[in-house]
Amino acid sequence: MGLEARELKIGYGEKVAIKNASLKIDYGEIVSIIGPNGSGKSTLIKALSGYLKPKKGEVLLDGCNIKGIGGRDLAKKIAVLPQFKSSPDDISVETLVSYGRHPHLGFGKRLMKEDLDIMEWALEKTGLIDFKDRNILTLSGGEAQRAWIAMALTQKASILMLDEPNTYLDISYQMEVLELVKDLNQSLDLTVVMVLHDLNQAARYSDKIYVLMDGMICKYGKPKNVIQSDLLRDVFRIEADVFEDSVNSCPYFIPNKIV
Amino acid sequence: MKCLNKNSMLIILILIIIASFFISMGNGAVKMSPLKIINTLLYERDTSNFQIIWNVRLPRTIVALLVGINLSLAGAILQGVMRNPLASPSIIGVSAGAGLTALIILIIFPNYYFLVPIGAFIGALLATLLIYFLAWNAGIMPTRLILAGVAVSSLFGAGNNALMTFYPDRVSGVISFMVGGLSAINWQDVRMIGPYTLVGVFLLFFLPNELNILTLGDEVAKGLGINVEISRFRFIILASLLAGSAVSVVGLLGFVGLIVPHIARIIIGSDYKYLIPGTLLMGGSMLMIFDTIARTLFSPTEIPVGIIMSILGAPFFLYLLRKRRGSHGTRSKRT
Amino acid sequence: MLSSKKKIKKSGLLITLILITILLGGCSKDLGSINEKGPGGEEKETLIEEETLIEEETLVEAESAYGVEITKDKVSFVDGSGKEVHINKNPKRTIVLFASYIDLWLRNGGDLIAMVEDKTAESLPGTQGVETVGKTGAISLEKIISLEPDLVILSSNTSSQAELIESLRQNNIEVLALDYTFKEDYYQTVRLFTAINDREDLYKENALLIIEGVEEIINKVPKDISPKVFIMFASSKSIKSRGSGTTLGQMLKDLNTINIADIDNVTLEDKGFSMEALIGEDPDFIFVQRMGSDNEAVLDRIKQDAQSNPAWASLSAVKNDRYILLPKDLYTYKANHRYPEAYEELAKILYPNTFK
Repeated sequence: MGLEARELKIGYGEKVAIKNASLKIDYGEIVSIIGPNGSGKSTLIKALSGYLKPKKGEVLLDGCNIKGIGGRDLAKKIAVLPQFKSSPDDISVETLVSYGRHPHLGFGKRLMKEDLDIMEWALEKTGLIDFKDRNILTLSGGEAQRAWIAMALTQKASILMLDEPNTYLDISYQMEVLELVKDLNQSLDLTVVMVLHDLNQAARYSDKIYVLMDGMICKYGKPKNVIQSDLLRDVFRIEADVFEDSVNSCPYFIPNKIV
Repeated sequence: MKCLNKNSMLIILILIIIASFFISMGNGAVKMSPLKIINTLLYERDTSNFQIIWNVRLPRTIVALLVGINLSLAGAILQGVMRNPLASPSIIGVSAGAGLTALIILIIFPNYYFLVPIGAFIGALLATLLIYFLAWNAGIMPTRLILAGVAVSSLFGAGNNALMTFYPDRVSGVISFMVGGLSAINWQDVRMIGPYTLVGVFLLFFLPNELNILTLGDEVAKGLGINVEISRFRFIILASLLAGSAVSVVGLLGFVGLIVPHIARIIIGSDYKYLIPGTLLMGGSMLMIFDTIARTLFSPTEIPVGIIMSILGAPFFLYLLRKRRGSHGTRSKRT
Repeated sequence: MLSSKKKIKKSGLLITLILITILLGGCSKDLGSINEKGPGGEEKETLIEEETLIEEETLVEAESAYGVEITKDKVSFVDGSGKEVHINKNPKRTIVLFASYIDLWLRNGGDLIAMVEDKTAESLPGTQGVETVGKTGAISLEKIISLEPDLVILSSNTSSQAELIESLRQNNIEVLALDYTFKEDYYQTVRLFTAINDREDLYKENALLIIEGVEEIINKVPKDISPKVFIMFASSKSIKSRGSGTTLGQMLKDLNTINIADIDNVTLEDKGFSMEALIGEDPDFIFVQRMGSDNEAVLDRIKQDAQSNPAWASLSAVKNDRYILLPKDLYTYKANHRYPEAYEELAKILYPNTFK
């Protein structure tokens, strides 16, 4: 069981961003979607999360089409961290994290003890318990992303989707986010789907990689089967040497020249 | 201001609004001491003083309170929903729709002058729906809505000017509507606007979270289970009803919907859980106080309250703005 | 040796002083002309020029009055724009831009080649087939000039008309800019028009007789009672009141009443008035001026509105049926030759025992 996409065709108006894509994501996996800019990565993940409706095809969660699942129920199963978010100047970390409980709140919209406990747990898991009263704008890039992830955690969803979580972050923060994601996956069995820009990062942190090009999935599988020189040449237009990272049991490459 | 706990701030605002109520009730063209006022209300019901207190000053104070609440609340809602600090009821066409309808009635059908309040209200709502419809393109992007609002407002404004050009002798009755004011307020006006205030305030005690989440962006909101289109539509209609009912009773008052939410934001922060009560307390107090000034400064001549609001309110806001360094309101943060 | 900063300050001060002087100079000029035409209405000495007896027809010699000087060919006076003008008698091509003056002009011997577009004016005798030059507030200067008038009559009180004065004069067109608020202005205007059109008979009919009629009524007014009155200009959203510095206000003042809106500190024509003060003062009569129709149903409705609203209903004027809706023709528009009638109707309301 898990999340499945069948022959998705997705577009904006006349423009078609994804021509035909099928995926299968099992519970407990970390899946990365990679590809050059314009290949349709963001579009694909937006369809998987239910934000965009596909023109053709369907997205199934445990066999049910997510189109038929109400917004709030879907939010309890899938949590999303979009690429673009805005936040008011003076929101505290704790307040931001509390929003994750929204799908669970009753009509009165009051936070019950259970909600507060979950929030505390999420803050601990993301290492932000000491930051809970801090203004979100005073946090570093990595800390802020962790706060958003903490918010997603309180949704108590089984799947977490991240759209380019590391773009614009300093490398140490990038690692911070990815290590957290890995830890959550291992300790909570959290399924993760993420769009990544950095191919080496995808190789290191994923169980499965889907490669997009021109709106179609051209290759998928385990990192060692996907990150190979011919793919790098054909899809990413670089000549590279691929090596094995024995410490992390994953491939990594060093680019040599542009094709 | 931040050192003051938000809850304490709310308590202070509650005290201020209560004080404003008494200031408004205690002052007017006819001077009466507080003791005399209470005495009149209790024991002298058949005097002209009673008429003044009960049928002139009281409804006027109440309407000032309600209008202040409605307009500032509408502004706060819109600034959140549109994610734009310059949003105000006039952006969704309330002023334009109400103004044009009022003008059409006053100028072309002057015999139906008594239909102006209800007409203005309907006009406001229709204008909002028109703008919404024009901006719709498989959903509403706030920017499109704002642009459509600007276009419709200027179109209606041109309509107003055309009416005034072709019927110049009927214009004078219209000016007082356009400037906005609380003279000749009676209990009927209270009944006109009251229900919307109650509904609005009631609803808004359950909806602050939804507003907060909407300000985080459409994707985040959808991810948290909110149907963004429906939610936005509901809030805009609520804002239109709140503002429309206010404008239909007192005419076009621009300052309240735009500036009061910002004043509240500076004092109490952007979290709608506090911003909503803060804004409505602030709006109600300000309007009651400014109206009191407007009708007592050159008593018994009354100045339109809009003038007082601009002269006193704007500098106050600027002062607060300077005290707090940096800008405020929502802004996009790339994370 | 002044530093440059000090020099700038000094020249700034000098320029400011010069500007203030110019402004004050301009103002005092205006004040001068206002004083000349105050509601007191100085009646200049009736100068009787050289007698000119012409055969049988007694051509009544034109008396100069109300600041209007009459000579053989020209009529001079200081108009509403403050300028002393000398108008040639018997203009052949006249255009009137202000609707209220059309009837006045026609009654006092004038004729028109064109006028402002106005429904009421179009039904007057003498305006059939006359050209129009646009609506009030949107008058076409080009059209006026293309018609080659020798006289244009307009209102100096309306800014859109006052703007046209300079342009018309530059095109060598004589302009009469009139400022008509009080009954003395009416007498002056009649004197002016009848002088320009050489119609002394009409001067007698439209001014002298009127003056007599009005005086007669004013003199009959009892001197011992001074009812309190309030003039209201009704609009749906506010109470605008008018003091004695308005047409109706003057009439009521002449009739020995006290207007509760006559307050020194504010000199607006239409003042927003406090409902509280109205109840506190509780005037004996409330006169309502209206725009809009004189339709019976609407007037009934207005009265009903007043009576059903408890604040209004508490006023003595409303309770005693002294909340009077005034007809437009005599009280919103200028009464002109019907001033005696206008005064009489008011007097009947104010002093029913004296005026039956």
